[in-house]
Amino acid sequence: MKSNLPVLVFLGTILISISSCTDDYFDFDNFRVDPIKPEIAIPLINSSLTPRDIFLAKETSDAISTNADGFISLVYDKGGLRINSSDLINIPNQSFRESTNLTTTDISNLPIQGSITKTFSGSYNFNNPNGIRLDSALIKSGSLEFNLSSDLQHGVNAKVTFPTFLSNGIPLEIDLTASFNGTTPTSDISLIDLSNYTISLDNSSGSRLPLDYEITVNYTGNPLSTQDSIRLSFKTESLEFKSFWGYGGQQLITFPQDTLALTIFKGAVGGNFSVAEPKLTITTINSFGIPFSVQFNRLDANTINSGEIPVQLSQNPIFINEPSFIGDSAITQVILDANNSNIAPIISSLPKDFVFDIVANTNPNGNISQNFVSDDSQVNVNVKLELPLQGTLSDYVLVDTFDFEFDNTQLLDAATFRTNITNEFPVDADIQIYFADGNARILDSLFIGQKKLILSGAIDADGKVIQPTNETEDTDIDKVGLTNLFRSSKVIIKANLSTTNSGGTVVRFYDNYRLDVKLGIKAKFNLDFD
Amino acid sequence: MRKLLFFNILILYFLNGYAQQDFTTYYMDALPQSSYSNLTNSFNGKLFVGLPALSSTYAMYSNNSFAWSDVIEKRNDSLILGFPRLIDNLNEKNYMSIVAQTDILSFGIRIGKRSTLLFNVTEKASVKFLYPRDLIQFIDQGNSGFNDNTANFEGLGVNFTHYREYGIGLNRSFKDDQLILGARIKYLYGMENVDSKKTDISIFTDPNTYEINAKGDIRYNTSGLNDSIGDVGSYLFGKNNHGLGIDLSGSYKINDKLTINASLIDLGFIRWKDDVKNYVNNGGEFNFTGIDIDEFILNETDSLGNTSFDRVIDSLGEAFELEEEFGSYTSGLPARVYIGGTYQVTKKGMVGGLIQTEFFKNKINPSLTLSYNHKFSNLFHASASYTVINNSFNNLGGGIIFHPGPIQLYVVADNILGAFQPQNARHLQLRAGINIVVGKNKLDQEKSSKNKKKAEKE
Repeated sequence: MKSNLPVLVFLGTILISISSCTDDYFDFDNFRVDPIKPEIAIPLINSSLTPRDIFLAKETSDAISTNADGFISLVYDKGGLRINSSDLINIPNQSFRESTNLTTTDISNLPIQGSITKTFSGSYNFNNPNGIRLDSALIKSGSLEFNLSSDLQHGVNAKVTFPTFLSNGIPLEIDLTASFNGTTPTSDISLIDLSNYTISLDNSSGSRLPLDYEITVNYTGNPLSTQDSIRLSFKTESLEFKSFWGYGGQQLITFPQDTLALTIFKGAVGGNFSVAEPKLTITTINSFGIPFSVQFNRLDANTINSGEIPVQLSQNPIFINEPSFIGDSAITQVILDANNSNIAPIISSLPKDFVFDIVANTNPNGNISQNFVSDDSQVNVNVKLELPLQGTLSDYVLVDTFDFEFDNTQLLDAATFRTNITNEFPVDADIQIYFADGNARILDSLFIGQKKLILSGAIDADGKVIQPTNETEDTDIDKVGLTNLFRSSKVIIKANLSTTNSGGTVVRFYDNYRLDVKLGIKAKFNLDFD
Repeated sequence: MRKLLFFNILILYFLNGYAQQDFTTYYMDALPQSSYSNLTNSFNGKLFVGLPALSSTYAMYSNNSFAWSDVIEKRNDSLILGFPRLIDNLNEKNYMSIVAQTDILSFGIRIGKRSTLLFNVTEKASVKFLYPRDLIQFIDQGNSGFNDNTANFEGLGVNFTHYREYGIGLNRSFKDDQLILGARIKYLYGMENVDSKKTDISIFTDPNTYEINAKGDIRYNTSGLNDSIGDVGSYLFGKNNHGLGIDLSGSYKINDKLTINASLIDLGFIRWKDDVKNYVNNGGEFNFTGIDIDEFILNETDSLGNTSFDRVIDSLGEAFELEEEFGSYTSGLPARVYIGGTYQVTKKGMVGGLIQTEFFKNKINPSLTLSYNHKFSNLFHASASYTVINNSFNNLGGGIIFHPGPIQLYVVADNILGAFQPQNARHLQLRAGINIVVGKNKLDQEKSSKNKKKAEKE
């Protein structure tokens, strides 16, 4: 075997030499990976849209009302027109001043008697603005400041009584003392919280505030002079009432112009729309014990089909009822429907909004009864449009534009968009999607012509959908189309909607209807690793 | 006919072998490092010391599906990797493995006439990747090109382990060398690990809506990948990842010429506690059906600068997001079983047959090796082998031991041709190094004397 070693080594060397050939299989400078073209299919959108999603804008408080069997009405509501008690009735601050001097008789008697008392009784004018008359009021907050001041070098006491300022039936009395301590003038001040006082005025001859007081001077031995005076003053501060009785005057309240927007027609550019029983309701709730009138200086609909159309009101101004007792409220409603107004043709003209301008008047018939007001009294005016969704729609064209940024990937060779739509609504929709640049110039469209992506559900004799439809559509986009897609920054969706049978059949909408939208993409990539 | 059927089944069994090691080395008993797979082997000396970092460097690459040249097409001067060609070469389930090991320190000493004590400190790293053909098809064709619309990733698995082995082994002969038993116990110090416990995933894409549904249990455990290495001392010796392993071997000499043997290698585990992060789905299903239309058509970009498609992809990512946990876990070593026999054809020549099976992720991966070892002299030993593995029949292995004085140089490869034509190889393996072996002559004298006595007795 030893002799075989050289032979083995030789043969091994030959074998290895022959086979030592990597054929440049590891020349990685020339290594390439063939492009791969995976097709990635992923779902993009999966939404189940309810009537609320479709008919209502997210940012509004518009509502859908549903009756017992699920039939829906769109409700557009505009409240917020309100008159508060402080807008009408305020008690202004009042101030009074009185001054008296000692007579020569008083000067003669005082050293002998040691003290003298002077008594007064009268009333003071109580100011009210805007023709308001205050008969009485229960005060919620506010104060009365009473001030005694004397030039006499003697002690002075004052006792003041407000006979119509009652707390638990007891008149308000104030005692003040100005003692002489070597300097003049002497003074005293009293601050009274009038909360829960009932104040009344004497309105037999203007608004008068009754007031009684007596002043006592106590002799100190110091000199006396008729020139020295004793002064009384008082003022009310920030009086607010819990309740007010009297007369509110004839006041004019102007509201800023307001708008009731209808999002259902947002984006519409035309078409025929009718619902069976549209209704515009103007509701006022009045808790003032004051009669009002509400005058619509303007109530116009801005429509897509016919421009501005004034709404015909069955009464204008509207006289607002008042409650019969404090704490109650009275509701006044004016309903405009197809029988007493032009609201039906207005709705068919696709109104974008209703614009209204309102003024309100208090006591439109003058001072014929006592008014009452509580601190939380309000008048609320509400305008509400109800559209019961029973009717027809045809050639209703909707256009919506939104910004949309596509990921510009050169790796895409082609794509297929697949829509899979299950529709329970009684509506057909032909749809076209345009891709546009930043200036809304259309670069391309997704479909050739409009494509019927949504088919109406099958309806029964009452116009109610009893069977949904399902429609799957593939839309291929080639490289050129994708290039246009990537250049675009806006997407314009144009939809032509009609209810069942091209709007020839009255249909009804229910809250259990759904539009299930699934959009997927099968993207054909071209991944070139060079 | 039955024999033919049995033979065919046997061939198929070996063709599916994955990441076997040390086929040629197994019967090279003069080589101390052969004890890493066959503990009944003792080196041909009284004492050996492996030169630190030089005594054993081991590298192995194994691919059960294709050789580089199977999937690379030469076009003019270019080397082209084409996915269709790659897919054509893939099995339904595929395996790729890379292993690297080096001995930091090793030595062995004969104790008396019947025992050998062995010690080693070995740094080991391996990557093993099990992947189904559907995974590559998924990359190449996307999710829309599968029959029944389902991409099946059953069997997808990965294991990356870097650890250090401290082993102490002993073999002892019995019945006048008729029976030799050996065992090694190993302390394992783990440094990094990625280990998939469950990844039987299937992804269904609805052909009508493209909605995606993924089912399957997923658990990826990782250790040592999240924190920075920081203090080198702590990294090398201070981690709290400990494990144990054992190797067992036995050989039985049926007669003077025929010996049978078996080994169980790398039966063990590592408990990973340090810097652990687990990614799991806890058996949950993933569903992605798209995003809401309002979210999709949100004006241009959102506050985070995301476009509509970004939002879709984000939502897709969230739908398939794995939960993170931080629980310690145990990973097993890929154990190997060797069963074989040798026949002494001449005084210096021996043929051997070896079946090796690796157990990885509950899969059995066999191979078959036939070898011839020849001791030309005390100076030079050589071995040649032929291995059927990885659907590959061109694995001609060989090894030489050059032993001038106390220096022992060796190099062993299971696929020599693969070393020179790696583009055609599915299995490459090389072990080489330098040992110092002393007491070789004394041992020979002892053996000679022993044989003489035995002959006299007979």
